[in-house]
Amino acid sequence: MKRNGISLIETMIAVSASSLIFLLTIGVLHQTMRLSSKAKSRTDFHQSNTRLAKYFRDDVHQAMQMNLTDDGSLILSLRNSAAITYRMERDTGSVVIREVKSPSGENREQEVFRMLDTARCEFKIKDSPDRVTLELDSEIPGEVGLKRVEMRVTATANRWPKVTVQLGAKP
Amino acid sequence: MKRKRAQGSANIEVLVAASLLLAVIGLLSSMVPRLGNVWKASRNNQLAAHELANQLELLTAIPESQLSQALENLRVSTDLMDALHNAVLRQQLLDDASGRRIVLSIDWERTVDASPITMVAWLPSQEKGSELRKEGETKGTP
Repeated sequence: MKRNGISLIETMIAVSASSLIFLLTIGVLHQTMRLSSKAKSRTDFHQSNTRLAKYFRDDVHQAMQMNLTDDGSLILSLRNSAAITYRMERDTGSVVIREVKSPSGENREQEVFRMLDTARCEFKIKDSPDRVTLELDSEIPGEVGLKRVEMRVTATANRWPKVTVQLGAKP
Repeated sequence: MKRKRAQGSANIEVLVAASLLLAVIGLLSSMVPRLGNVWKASRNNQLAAHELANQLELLTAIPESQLSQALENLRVSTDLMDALHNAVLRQQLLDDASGRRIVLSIDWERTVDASPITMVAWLPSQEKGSELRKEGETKGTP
């Protein structure tokens, strides 16, 4: 006699297999979304780093004088009496701010470089008083106290003192 | 005679679907560590490029008389020794038709074969006709 329908055991096996596949798929989906988010933040961080390194090097090259403040900020005094300050802020996320103050002190421009939440940025004058190093590190997730080197940029102040640019001059 | 259409799915169909799904999941999972390695390699390349730029910044700023000594004493920064395993710096001071220049390259232990990262800085030329070629190699640890 031919049986119609499906037995309880068949239903149970089908449900178990479906659940397993469903769970696996959800797991992979979750992992993919987490990785995508992590990759995006790392990409933004790398782009910010590249931009920051370029600005930092160019600014230090133009600086006549450099000062490190107690709160870890770096103040660069330029030839035209303008000043550029680099500082790290954590109030509105982890960012490095470059602030340009005009000679009159009225106009201010700000450039913001977004960092990872665990990033730490320090400015150090080590070997020579006219050389400053930007040290950017981040904490390794899950390992307290261990840091990962993200970037080291060293630049010399007043790098091109003898170079003058004549606009419109023919070679 | 009209053939009766099968209802539901056969065991073989379910097995094929499950196998395909598992294969895709396995493929995606194997790409996760690869992605991590690519990220790490990209970060290390950026670190190495900045290191070369820093070294060239120093070398191009020092007086001519100290250049040879500085080239001989060139070392990879201690901060980078953890990230760039067994890093080696190679330096060349060249003076030929292309101009007087310092060529620095850095190489380190990597999981895949890759070319060293090289950077060049041109110097103000000295007397014409004097062709100079000076090469050296320094390991990271002093």
